[in-house]
Amino acid sequence: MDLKKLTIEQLRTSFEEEGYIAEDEIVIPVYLALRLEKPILITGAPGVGKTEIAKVLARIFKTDLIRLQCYEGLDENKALYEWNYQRQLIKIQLIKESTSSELIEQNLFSPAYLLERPLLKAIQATRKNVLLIDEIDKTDEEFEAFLFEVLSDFQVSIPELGTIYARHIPIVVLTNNGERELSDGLKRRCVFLYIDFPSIEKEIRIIKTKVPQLEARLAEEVAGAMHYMRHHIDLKKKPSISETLDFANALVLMGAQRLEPEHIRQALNLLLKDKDDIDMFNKEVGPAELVEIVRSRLKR
Amino acid sequence: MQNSFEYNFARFVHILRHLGIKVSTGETITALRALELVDLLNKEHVKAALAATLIKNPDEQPIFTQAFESFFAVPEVKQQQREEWEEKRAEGRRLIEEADHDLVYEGETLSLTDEEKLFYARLPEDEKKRIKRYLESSKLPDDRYHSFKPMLEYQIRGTLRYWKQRLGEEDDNYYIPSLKVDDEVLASIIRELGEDDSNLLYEDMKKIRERDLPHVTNVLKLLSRKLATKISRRYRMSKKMVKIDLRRSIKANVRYGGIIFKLHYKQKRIQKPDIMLICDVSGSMARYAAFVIQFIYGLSSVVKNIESFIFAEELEYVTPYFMKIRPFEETMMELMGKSKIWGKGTNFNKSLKTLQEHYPLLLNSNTVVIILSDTKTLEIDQAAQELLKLKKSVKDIIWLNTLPYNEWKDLQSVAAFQRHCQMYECYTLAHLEKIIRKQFIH
Repeated sequence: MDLKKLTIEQLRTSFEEEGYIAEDEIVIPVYLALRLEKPILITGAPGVGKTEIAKVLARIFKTDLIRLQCYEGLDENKALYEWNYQRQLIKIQLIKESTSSELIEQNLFSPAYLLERPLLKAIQATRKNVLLIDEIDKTDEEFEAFLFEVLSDFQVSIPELGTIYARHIPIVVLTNNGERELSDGLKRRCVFLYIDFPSIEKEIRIIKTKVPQLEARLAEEVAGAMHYMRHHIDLKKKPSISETLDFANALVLMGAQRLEPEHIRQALNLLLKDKDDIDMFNKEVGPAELVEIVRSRLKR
Repeated sequence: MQNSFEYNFARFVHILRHLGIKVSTGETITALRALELVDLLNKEHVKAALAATLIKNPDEQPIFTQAFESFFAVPEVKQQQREEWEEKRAEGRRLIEEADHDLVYEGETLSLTDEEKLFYARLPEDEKKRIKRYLESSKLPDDRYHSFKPMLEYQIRGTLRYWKQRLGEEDDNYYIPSLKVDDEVLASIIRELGEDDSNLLYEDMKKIRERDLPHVTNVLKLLSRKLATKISRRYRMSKKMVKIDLRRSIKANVRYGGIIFKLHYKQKRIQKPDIMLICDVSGSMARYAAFVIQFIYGLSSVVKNIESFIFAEELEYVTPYFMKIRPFEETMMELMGKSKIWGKGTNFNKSLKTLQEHYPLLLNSNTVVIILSDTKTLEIDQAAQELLKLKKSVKDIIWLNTLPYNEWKDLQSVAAFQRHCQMYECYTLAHLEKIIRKQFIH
């Protein structure tokens, strides 16, 4: 697909073809990021489909997805490049007595001894790819500063080799769980997209697309139950779309026709991942009451 | 010029900035480029494009939405906005004139600010008459006139401040409309935001209603989580491989004939700070009770090792109340029922002494103390000394002050405590959010 001729409608259709239900609020920021060649910063609770956007984009443009998973303590060596120290040492041992020292040094700092990490890989790639920088909020602030330098110019300076310019500016997707406030500098360079939990109607569509074996009525009940749990129970970690789909798949395996308290009881661990949340759910509502609430709401 | 697209766009950005959304010139240019790529006649597309390029924080979404809806309203609505605004301004001017007419000494108007005059105009009639009588009866010989007028103004200002505090605490509707807003769209957005129930971020927490509690709890929990992450992150040592551990490297590489083949690095130990929360629950803070408990509740649910205290005329240890997993309302009921100091007078000095005498083990160089209080206390000087002592034994003290910033200058206690801690205005969730966003721990 040619990026320069891309339209909003085309992008929306492509998303749907790849099984990602997206409305204007999602499609337009993604479209703008692609057309303006800017990174897109996606914020939202875990499991709402942030990372999935990068995967879908890679599939739509039939290109590689290069992933940089962030964690605390991640530094340039792990993200950009590193010299292959062991290989250099072996080389030194092998040619110690036969070559001049200047030549050894020249050879040792050549691309053959460079270990490419995801950022460099994305910059050096021979075709446009999707670079996913996942959970950027987990890194330290200094790494974030380094990152936005790379993202603003799409070039990297390696002292021994010189500056490497990107052959194709990658499609950059950054995801953020909102655990830490990101710097203004980084946010300013990105197009921003906030993905909230879906509405009941949207969630029903998602379930029907991803778990087509599930009965339509049951899909509505599942979406209703999820909506209620998110908005009416004081949970630490609200069940998100990925949990909904796990639950829906579990219901298929259980051969369920209608949502019953027993189903929730048996698959509660798929929905709530925290013991305190499970206790809170059982204390506040419980499976039987939840099913009753969902059914009475659907009747209305 | 005023009808040009660029002018209107710049004005919209200007309004967003006024509303506290940081929009840089770079972002403005990106937004303009984005608008070239969408259908300008499709309002939803324009809105999504502007939201994607101008705001960078989910919390800014409601403000942006309101600003967008008001700014890009249909002409009839705009006309209505303008009329309402003109009406408000005319009313403000009338009230100021009325105050100018009343607040006169020896035929000369007292020099008070517009805000003070507006406040005077909305005082109960009896009180206005009392002030007028006082001014009329204050006659002095001509030669002392010039030195007496400023004193009189000072006295009137003090009276107005007293009434502002009294009425402000009793009647939430007593706040005067500001005349500083010089734009009808901005005025309309601010009014709409104020009326919007879902927008609790900007609500003074003392006005919080019971039905809003669950929503506020959730927002507070989220903010507490951010605060906790920020505090712990700031103090974490970097894991970067900066220092080679020679001993371990040599040992590990003996098998390679002494060539250092595999490097080992020294890593500094990560140490999370211990957070101590000290919240004021005295009479003057009574209206913030729900906020205070929710703050402790929120922070306790995301930070495992947090020690919480409440204080009024004495200090009380309340950590155990927040250890059990249960709904917020239950925690609040139990705490308010069992506390012996709730709603009493404030003695910060005594409370700090108790803290240092009875809980010395909780105070160490790794402790970050967060105090939530309006600073109003007895024995201010002694309390400041105790605060200084506390500062020396802990890592940092952060004071979240529930008094509006413009009132700080009037209080001796603020000046005394501010010297020994980092103090921030904090009476809305938006303030708390802003504090968390700032780099406030050095």
